Amino acid sequence: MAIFIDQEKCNSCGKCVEICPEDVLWLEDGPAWARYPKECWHCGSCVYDCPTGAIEVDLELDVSIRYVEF
Amino acid sequence: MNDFTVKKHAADVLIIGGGIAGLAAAIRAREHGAEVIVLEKSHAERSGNAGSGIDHIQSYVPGIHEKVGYHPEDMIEEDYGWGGNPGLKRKDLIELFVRNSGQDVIELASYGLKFHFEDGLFLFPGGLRLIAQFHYLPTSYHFEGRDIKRALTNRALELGANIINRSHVRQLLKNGEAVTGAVALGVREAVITVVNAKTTILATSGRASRLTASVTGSDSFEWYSAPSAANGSGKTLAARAGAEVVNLEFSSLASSYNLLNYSFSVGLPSGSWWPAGRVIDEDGNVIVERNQGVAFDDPDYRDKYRQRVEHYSEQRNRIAPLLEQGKTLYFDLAEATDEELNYIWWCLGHEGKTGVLKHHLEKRGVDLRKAKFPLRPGPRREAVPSGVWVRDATTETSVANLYATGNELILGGGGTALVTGYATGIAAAERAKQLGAPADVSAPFVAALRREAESILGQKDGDGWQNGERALQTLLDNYLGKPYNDRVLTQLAQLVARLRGDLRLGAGNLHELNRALEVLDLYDLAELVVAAARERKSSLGPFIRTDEDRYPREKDGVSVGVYRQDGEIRTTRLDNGCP
Repeated sequence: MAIFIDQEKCNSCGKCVEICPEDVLWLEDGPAWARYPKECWHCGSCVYDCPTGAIEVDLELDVSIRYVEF
Repeated sequence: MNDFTVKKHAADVLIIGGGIAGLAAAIRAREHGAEVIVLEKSHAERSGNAGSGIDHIQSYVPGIHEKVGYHPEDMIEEDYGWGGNPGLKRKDLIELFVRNSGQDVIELASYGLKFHFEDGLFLFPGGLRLIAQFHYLPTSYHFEGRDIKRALTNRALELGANIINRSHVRQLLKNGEAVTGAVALGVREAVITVVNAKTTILATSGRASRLTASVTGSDSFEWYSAPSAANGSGKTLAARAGAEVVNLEFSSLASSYNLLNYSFSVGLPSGSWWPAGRVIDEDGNVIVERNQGVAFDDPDYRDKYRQRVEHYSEQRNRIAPLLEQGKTLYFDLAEATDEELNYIWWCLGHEGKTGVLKHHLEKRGVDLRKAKFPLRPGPRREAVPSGVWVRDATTETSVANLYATGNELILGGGGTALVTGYATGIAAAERAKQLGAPADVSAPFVAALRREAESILGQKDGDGWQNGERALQTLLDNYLGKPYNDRVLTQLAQLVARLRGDLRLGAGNLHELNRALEVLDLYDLAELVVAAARERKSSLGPFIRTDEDRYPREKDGVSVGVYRQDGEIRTTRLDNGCP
């Protein structure tokens, strides 16, 4: 899962739902939620635009960055 | 069953697509007195390839470039010869970009985007940060572009443009020989929107990444280097309206190598990692050195910089062959100073989705100086670096009152999108002044869209759009880039047709319905790609070329144009002005 929405911090303002370019996020009764998480392309727009800092987007494991140290 | 409501609008200029180019066109068309409507499939504040930002934008920079003896003509020749700005691959359009870019790009500063810095890092006169890209002089600004889409949206709205978001254009309206607007389906509301317009601009995405599948095997959208909206629908709309689409028979490489498992190299080892990025092998031998700039006040700036670029390119070109030979290579930032690391973090925070990469790395406390990131070899073929043909620098297509702009002309970055968008906005607004309001011919188009939508929604046990998309991607991946002959191409056409014949897309709601319609456009586009390759057979090498210079270099002065007439695909040859 790439998108984490803090249920306490979300004030259901709907900004993330309004701007999500992939139509991933939804708002019904209560906090925003990711209805189509597999269609998230990790652009980060919802993180930038959330007025309460309630959203975190991280890279999913299958596309996360790998590294070694030597 | 959804009951679709029809809403009708009238405009002087209709713009399809609210990316950088579409919004730039809206701004200039309003400034030239036109009533403007933008139809945007997503939401203009965060849609398109620049949705969550760009950290750089290309331009000729008069005050700086002139001083070191680099003239607009030099940049035009470089852009054209380099081949890195495909699309139509036409010198008249590249010239349009270069000549207007100086004033157009810096105008963004007046929209509230920060272009001038005082921190002493990589500064040119005026506090500008010019960075290495693909030219013999730095021609890109680094700037705070994370919110460029919001800035352009706000400017367009201030000027009175009407932006209709979540509205997915399905067909151009055509009356006789002229385009007179478009019909669109709501993504979130059961609304069919009709816009009758004097002139119509396609400001749609250039590449169609979704024709080919993920090399990571990931089934998430993340692997795309462009948002899913980049499905080539501008090309299918144009072709259906009878406007030629060219260069469909070529593919570009999205990149020659990526970071494991991430989908995006961000110009590695330069780009957003400049100047400290290097490439090393498993023993720590340096394959690509870091690429530092030259002091601007150096009297030999131009020559020194040119030598540096050549040296760097030479090293960089070694990466892909070494990976192909089975060498293990790593991206490395071991030599970065603290200041440079801060600068790189700043870039990542403005360059679109690398803001999430930044968060990912920070959250895990990754020390960029210690971490070595394995490179994953390409190539990943990405069809297609094509564009919608325009007559001349007015950017009008061969179909009356239909214009194309942005990535449909030059597959560059934010700079080419902005500058061509502005120019097309002016041309379309001025043309609209000569035209009366078009007749409303939308009835049959609306009826067809309603039928199409209801049919897919009625297909409860139908194929999911994801399955339809993957079936096509697997098929094309098996063929793109291979040497072809007539027989193979005929067989490929058969395969695409059979697959399409078997496709029974179903959808449970409007979201899925719109995804299904995107997939139908991918099939439409695949048919055009195959037709273009069949037409091209006599002149060039392998279908979907994958040669070193990545992009088509027309040798014969001819572009193959593909369009539809009464639903049938037709091909034609167009003089592209190449020597």
